[in-house]
Amino acid sequence: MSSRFKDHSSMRKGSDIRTYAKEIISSISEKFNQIGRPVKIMHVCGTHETTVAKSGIRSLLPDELEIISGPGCPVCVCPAEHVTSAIQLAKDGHIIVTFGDMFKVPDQKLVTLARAKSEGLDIRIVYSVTDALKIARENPDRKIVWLGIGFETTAPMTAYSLMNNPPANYYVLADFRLVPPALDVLISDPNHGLDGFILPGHVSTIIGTDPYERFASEDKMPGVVGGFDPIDFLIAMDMILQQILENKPRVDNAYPQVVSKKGNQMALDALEEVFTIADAKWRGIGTIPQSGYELADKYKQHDARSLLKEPIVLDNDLFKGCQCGSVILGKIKPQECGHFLKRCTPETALGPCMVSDEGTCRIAALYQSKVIR
Amino acid sequence: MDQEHEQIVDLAMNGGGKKMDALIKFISENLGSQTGSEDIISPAHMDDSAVIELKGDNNKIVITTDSHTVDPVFFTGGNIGDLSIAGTVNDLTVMGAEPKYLTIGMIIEEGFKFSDLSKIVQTIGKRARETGVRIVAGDTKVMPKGDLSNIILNTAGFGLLIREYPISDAKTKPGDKIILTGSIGDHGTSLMALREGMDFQTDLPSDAAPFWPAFRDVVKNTGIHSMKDITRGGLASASNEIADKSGVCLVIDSEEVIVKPEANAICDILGLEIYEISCEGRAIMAVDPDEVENVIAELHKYELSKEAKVVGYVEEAPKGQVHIITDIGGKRILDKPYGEPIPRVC
Ligand code: SF4
Repeated sequence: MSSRFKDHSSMRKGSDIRTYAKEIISSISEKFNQIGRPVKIMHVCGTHETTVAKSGIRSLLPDELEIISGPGCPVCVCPAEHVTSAIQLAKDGHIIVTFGDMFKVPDQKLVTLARAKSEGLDIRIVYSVTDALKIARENPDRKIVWLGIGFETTAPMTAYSLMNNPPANYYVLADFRLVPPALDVLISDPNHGLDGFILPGHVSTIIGTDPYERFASEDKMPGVVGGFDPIDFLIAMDMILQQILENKPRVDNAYPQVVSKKGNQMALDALEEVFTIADAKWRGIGTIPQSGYELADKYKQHDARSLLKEPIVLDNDLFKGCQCGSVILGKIKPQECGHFLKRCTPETALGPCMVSDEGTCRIAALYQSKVIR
Repeated sequence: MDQEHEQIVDLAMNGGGKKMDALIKFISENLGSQTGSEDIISPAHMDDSAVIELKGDNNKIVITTDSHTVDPVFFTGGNIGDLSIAGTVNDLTVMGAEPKYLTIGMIIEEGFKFSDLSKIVQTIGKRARETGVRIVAGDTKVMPKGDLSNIILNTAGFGLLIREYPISDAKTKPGDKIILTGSIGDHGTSLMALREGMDFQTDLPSDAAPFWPAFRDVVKNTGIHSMKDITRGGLASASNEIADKSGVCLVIDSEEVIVKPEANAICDILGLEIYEISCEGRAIMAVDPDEVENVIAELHKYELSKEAKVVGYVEEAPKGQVHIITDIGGKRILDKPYGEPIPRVC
């Protein structure tokens, strides 16, 4: 719509890419110069941050055109209570089933599921929720707890599992979070200083672009849904600068092959059937209104929290000095945390942002531990 | 003999008695005849140590040691025997030494099949003959089942320097060109594709290969300032060691680095960084720009380095760093990997 770099599918090989990237970058720089002031763009997706860091996009852009990493890592914002509750449930004799990315996430005391497992608790890593159902069927006299975390992208799979007659011993510890309410929190800070959002491709596949319209119309924030290879991301940047230049905030879709206006109706129906939207805690950030999925009453008999003798609530959910909350909100860069690459490394992570593949601290540690200029 | 092939290694072969002698005899027979024996005075009769007399002008001795474990023990394009010879020979060659003698220690898990052992030992013998190194001493131990996984080999290598000064990791200079002798990551990705639970349809072979005798004339070139064989930690480790020890910045252009499509695909799926994946038959060199053409021309004469090419250059600063020029022309850091590359689970 607003970029002449739309159809680039034929241009993905060898030096073509470099020439093409150069063209987009010079278009970006031209627009940036016309705008004539520093510009701050935030993306809200861990995969986007990997693309940006791994392909060195920041090194190609003007210094004052900043790309900031926002709350795009579901593992990072998952409350520490989730880990503590899962370990408690394992201690009570239940089987815990999870994706691998939660396995090494430390709670505020640096206890992880990995450590709990090495101490003999029954915690199993699987590749999909189907495997969790299988384990439940194979162990009819045990209770199986599936760790349900993620954004709108992963929640539908858990919803389907509950809708299709799961065994009675299948439980879900649900801590799914919604992306748009986190953007509300960011914008509500009068000092946010943001000029636009690159919106997450995967999440938008499910929810569509409509839920973002209010940021453009009410908050005057430009937004572009971006894809995941470096060229896709550069095109999204070019489109967002165009909006800023025209001073016409809207939601553009730079990933139309996969993302539609209305999203995936089947997935949305499943989410509505199985969950209700509730206030929810984000790790290091606090409670965000209407930002999480809870099991609807109809499915409460599968709620793993009902297995806990009393609910687990932590006042402090990060290790001392860990600033994951500020990193997730894009307020500081990992390098500004006192622990970064000192006590906290990918091998000795103190916070979730250093553990997850989508965590800003981990990505910074792997690809830009030293700044290139 | 056929019946012997059905046998497994048992703990009694550790005892120093007749069963052990039989095991050693089995190994020597499978090793085959040896080359390069002119300096060997002993062992003629399974003595306790080898005795070697140095003749000629080359009297700078280069020594290295290496232990080898691999999962699986037999992989596409080789087995642990290839690794034991290539690893040791390559460590000597990249110093500018002619590999001469090797010792081999084998630690074998109880229950290991004789048929597999014979394949490994035959490979060791064949590779040793091809590279002209002589195996002068050996040792075997058998350990209870479960104490190790299949087999561990340890080798020591002894070579003679064939240039005035050894090639050092610390001698790279600003202005040097970086040469890679072939594609990267073949060995590591080939192994991963074979591991349990991975379902890749690929016959991507490991790149395991000894540098000697192919690099005999290459390493005599004094324009080679640094040279390293790329092993664990892949290009990321090898390049960072050179940058660090030489106090320079290596700039590597991703577009010039050869990565086989299969290796790339496997890395993508498993969420791994190709630069961190191991090789067993590739070297990185920092070469004086005036000698680059000669070195490349020499490398192109041999199968294992027929794709050798310049992939980058050396700058003065920032010292100790390696930069990658990415697909789209951006720059980023290539750091030493943190630990083993672990395939992503979800
Ligand atoms: S560097 Fe470590 S301690 Fe600091 S914010 Fe990141 S994860 Fe937390």
